[in-house]
Amino acid sequence: MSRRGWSTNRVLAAVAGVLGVLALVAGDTPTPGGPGELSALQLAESLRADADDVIILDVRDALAFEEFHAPRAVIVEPTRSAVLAEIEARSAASDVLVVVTGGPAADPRPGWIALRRAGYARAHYMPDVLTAWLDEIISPVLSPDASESEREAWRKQSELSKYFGGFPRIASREEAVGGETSAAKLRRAKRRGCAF
Amino acid sequence: MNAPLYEIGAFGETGALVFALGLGIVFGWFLERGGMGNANKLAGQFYLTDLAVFKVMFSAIVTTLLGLYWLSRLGWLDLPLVFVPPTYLVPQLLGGVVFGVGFVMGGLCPGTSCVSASTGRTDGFMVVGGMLFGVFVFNEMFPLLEGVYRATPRGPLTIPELIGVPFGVVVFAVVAIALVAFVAAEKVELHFRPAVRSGEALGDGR
Repeated sequence: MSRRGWSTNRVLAAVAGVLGVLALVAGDTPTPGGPGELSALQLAESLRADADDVIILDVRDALAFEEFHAPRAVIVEPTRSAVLAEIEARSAASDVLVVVTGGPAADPRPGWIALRRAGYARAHYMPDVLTAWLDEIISPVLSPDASESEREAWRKQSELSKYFGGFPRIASREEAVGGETSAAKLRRAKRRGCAF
Repeated sequence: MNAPLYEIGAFGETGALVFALGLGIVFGWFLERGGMGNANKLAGQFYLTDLAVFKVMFSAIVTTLLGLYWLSRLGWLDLPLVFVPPTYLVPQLLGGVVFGVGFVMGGLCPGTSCVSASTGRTDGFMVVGGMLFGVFVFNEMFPLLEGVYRATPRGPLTIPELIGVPFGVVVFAVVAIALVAFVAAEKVELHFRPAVRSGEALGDGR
């Protein structure tokens, strides 16, 4: 098929080219998949900066919540409507940082999606709050082979860790190979009397 | 925002599966009409005589990229809600090698083998059978392979975040590369396809 010497392929290529050039000047847009997920480090930084500006909704069951939850977190049912009801009950401003935390058996994404749909642009989620908080805040471990830039980042992380009652440390060579489970870290953190 | 439909709860899991089935049939129909169910045509990719696969796949990438960017820019699609599969460097590289070897041996990839089988081609059925057998063996051997399967996790990676440039710049760059590549592909085909060259030399106007 052609129109005055232009085949369909060429017309489509021209359309793609125009849309591509316009994309250069049309401004930025979020990338797929982000920035929904929040790291424990980012959450901890936000809590230390202004805890009143952060709302944490934990969608895990009561047992998991009792075992561990992020500071100032409240437990809610793992449904979109329950998450929205909780946030509306607080009359929270739409620019507040809201973090939905979950675990292996509780997906925080539906609640996060409901919040984004409701206009909370700073809504985020953490897929596994227990593991993330233990690994990044309570027991951050620096590899003995870390580079200078990794050591600098770790120094900042260890400050934050101490603020939240953690115990940052540099791993021995044996540990660097073997590692430590999240459950073991939780037991050790509780022995130290760390209040979550 | 009106999309992504599944993520915003426009339909449930059953609805999503039905929708996926419908999309799959439409996609398969277009692949078949484009000749992608024919192993001979796909094998032309490796002899540089027919780069239809390259052009179809790159066209799909450009169409999706432009669609996602502009739908997001116009406020119809909430891009952060679009799922990005996590990257695992080593297992995905190994998977790419296995995929490539299978593609060269069978002349078909997973999608096109289904298209080929649906049109009654024996080689299509053989490739689908081999693929299902591979899935079965992988699952049976999973405890042995799990270490490799979960190695080198890098999380969900996107090019704009990886190289730190705006999404729009990446869109422009990919479209530009595609357009140049399409022109180059045409020239490569003309160079390596004997029939075309001989047709031109003979002044064959078919």
